[in-house]
Amino acid sequence: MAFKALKPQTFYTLLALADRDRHGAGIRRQVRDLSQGTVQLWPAMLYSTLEELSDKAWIEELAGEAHPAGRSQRRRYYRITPQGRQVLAGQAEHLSRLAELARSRNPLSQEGGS
Amino acid sequence: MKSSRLRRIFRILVTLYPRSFRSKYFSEMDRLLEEEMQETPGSGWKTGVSILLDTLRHLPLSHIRSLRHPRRTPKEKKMAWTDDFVPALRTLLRHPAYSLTIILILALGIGANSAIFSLLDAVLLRPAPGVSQPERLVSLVKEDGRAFSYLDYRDLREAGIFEELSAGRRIELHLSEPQGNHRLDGELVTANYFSTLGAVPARGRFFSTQEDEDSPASRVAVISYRLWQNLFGADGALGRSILINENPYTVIGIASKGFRGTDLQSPPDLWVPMMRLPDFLMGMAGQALEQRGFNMFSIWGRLQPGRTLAQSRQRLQAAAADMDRIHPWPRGARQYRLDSLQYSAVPQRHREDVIRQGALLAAVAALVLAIACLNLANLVSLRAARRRRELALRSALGAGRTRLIGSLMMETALLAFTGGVLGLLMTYWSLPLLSSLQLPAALHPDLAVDLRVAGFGLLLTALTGLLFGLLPAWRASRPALMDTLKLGRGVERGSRIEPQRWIVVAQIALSVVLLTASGLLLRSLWNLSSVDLGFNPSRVLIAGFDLDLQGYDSRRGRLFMERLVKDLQAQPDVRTVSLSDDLPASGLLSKRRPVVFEGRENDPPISGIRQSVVSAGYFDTLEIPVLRGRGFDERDREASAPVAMVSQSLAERFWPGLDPIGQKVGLMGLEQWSEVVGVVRDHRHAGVREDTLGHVYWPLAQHYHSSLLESTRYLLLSCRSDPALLMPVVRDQMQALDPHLPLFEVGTLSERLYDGLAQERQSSAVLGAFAVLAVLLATFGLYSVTASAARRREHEIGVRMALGARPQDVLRLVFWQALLLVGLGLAAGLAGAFAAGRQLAHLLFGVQAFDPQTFAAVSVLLAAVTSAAVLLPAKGAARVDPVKTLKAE
Repeated sequence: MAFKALKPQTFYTLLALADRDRHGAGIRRQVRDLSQGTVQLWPAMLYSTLEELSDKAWIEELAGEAHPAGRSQRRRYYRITPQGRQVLAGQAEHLSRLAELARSRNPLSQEGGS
Repeated sequence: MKSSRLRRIFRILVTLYPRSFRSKYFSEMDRLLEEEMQETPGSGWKTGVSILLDTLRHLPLSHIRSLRHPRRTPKEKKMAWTDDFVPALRTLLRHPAYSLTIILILALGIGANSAIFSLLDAVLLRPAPGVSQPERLVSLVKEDGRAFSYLDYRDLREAGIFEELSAGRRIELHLSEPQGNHRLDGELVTANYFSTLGAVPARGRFFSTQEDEDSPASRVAVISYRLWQNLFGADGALGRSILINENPYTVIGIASKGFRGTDLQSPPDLWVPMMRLPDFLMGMAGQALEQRGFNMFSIWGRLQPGRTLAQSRQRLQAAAADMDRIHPWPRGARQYRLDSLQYSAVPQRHREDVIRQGALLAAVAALVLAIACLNLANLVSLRAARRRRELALRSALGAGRTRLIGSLMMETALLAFTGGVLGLLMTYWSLPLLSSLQLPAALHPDLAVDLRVAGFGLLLTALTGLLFGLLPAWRASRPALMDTLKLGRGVERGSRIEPQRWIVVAQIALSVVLLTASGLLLRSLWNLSSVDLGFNPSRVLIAGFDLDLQGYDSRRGRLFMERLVKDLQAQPDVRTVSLSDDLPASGLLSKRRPVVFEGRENDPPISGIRQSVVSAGYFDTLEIPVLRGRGFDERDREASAPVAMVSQSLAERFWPGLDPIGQKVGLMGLEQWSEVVGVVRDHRHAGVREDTLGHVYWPLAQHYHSSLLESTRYLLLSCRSDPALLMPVVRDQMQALDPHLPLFEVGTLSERLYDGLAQERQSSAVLGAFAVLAVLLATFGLYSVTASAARRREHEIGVRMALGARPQDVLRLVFWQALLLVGLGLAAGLAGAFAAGRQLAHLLFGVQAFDPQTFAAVSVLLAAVTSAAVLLPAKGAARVDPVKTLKAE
């Protein structure tokens, strides 16, 4: 399968849902922490991404009764699907291979390359 | 960025997202936004901008694109305005030239109209500032037009008909300051004057009732805001002592900024208590306030709350009857009239002039807007015609008619709105220009684009957008579906003249009207400035002064004038020096007793004979030739035999066939005859517009006081060099004779004559500018109609050429068809111009409303310009390649 790099916001959103279910604002916070502030999911981007990932069935929205107790009923919670995990894992693997490749060629040394 | 504003913009942007997306996520997005703004209060605006940019960037383009194709569920047919907005915006952005043209055309039309509206609004519709409840203010006048005596005023005030009743009299006064001397307009008023008008001072206080008593302490003055700003540099004027007519006064108050008193045309600059009258009207001190025969005051009142004008009138009649019983009036019963003090910025007597001038401006602006609207309709319908295939296709795919009209309307509305906003901006920019326009009443209204003006502009925009967008849209949306789709490129049906051609005819007609009107005004301006005045105004320096206000008696005054003439005569470069009581071309008719002729003492008084009091050398200075007899000279002294001079036309009118020298003239009611010693050639004394009437001249030496109330004198000085160079010399000489005497109206006579034509110049300039605009718009309209007609007939032309027509045949075909429109427009326009010229008749001078030369010139000019506009597309049509056309079949 030809590899297609995910957009940063997609990758981070999947990553944010990898350990637990979260709602929109939670995803936004988690992504900001994971990326050390380099990726900001502003509302439009966040919900466009969530919509897109739901369409692809990489994540799913939890039905009302599955909400963790004590939380506001109005927030939508999202869970990563097995398919989504697969994509995430594939992506992570590919990225690490790329990283290894890059390290072996030592891009920072002047003599390297040709 | 404030978080409330951010959220509002955010909400608007979100409406561009698909409905399903919005209903699902909006509340959460909104909450997230709120939390975000609370979390980072410091870097608020940066976050805000990021959020908005992000919202824009993620606009689902596929969704917006889908809006253009009306495939939607019935529920979605209840569309949001955005469904039309975005595609309309895109369409317009794809045709920037078309959009910009329409926006500019509309902006010009709306801008011109709002500007004129702002002027008329300020001048005619808005009440004057600085007074409270102006609708309750009235002015009291006598039926015979005379003023009131002070004692009658006191009686009326006692009668208690009004809440407040005040009296006043306009005066001229001298204000002597270390920095310079000024002659100002002032007003003597009773202490309750300001409370009658309900005015509030900007600084200090107004007069107290104590100052209605005659005591030295009452040498106090209230100054206008303008005087405060101009003369005292807006610093502490309060409590300052100023020298008025050589008497020390204390400034106790400053009127509010817009306050104009009761004479709105030329508001006074200074008010002093009525009891100070002796300081200003020398020679009638005492009597003026104590005798019922001295009728010299105006009266204004404020109606009692809840009492109508009619009720107050009744009470006033009763009071007048009482006064007649106690103090009978020699001329019969007192007849008073009570008028509402029309408290708008224009005084009653100037309203008509202003309305006429305003109506002209408004009519012209409306014509330009009409042309602009026609252009708009033209362009919209042309574009709609070009898009017929697209519209037919959409209609075939199921778009309803309202849907099609909606999207066409949205485009027009967008254009109209942008044009309207730009037009209001233009209005804003044009206000300084408008303020400098001299209206007949010489008003200087404070112009501003306020809510009313903006509302007017936007209303116009909405109307034009609706009317001229809806009609073409309605027409274009009529789905001649099968025709259009079947015929492919769309062959024009028949030789029917489409509406846009009629529009062009109307445009040409309207611009012909404007062009002709401005041509007529230009010609009459030319006539006015080249009219033979009968005197030579070049190199004549003028300066006015008033010795009476400075407290001179006739002995001191004569001495002053003699020395002034002698001193100035000794200056190099001075040719002649003379004095007069008025200026040539001033247009003022002096208020003097009527002239009588010996042997006709019992004839009814002849009004309309002009009189001037002039010194020896006057006719030399103005180069008016003495035709018979002699001019005034040093023989004519106070004690010598009384003499007079007359104008040629007066001599011919009153002593036809007789020698005027030796005839006797006098003033009605004075037992003194003056012998005519000379006859001078006629000149236009009253101004360029007035035809020469008879004129009698009296020697200054024998008429020191020509009338009781006029004491202004003018110095007229003819120079060998540039008169401007002599101005400082004249000032120095005057200062040497009296350091406190102010000079006014200092300048050259030529300048003064030029200023006298300001109104004519402005009318032709404004009309001319509008006419050029109109011709440009009409030419553009003609060009676009011809070009698009030629384009649509490309196919037909190609076929014709394939069948043997030569390019020049095609050229002729297109050209003559367009010229037919020009001819129709021109004919209609000339007829309209004839009607308009009659309306302008009062502004014309030396030119008939139907002036063949002007009409011919306009026709030629218009024909030339429009031919050029037609020739370009016609040539393009002649270059059509028949092979290409046939291949396209």
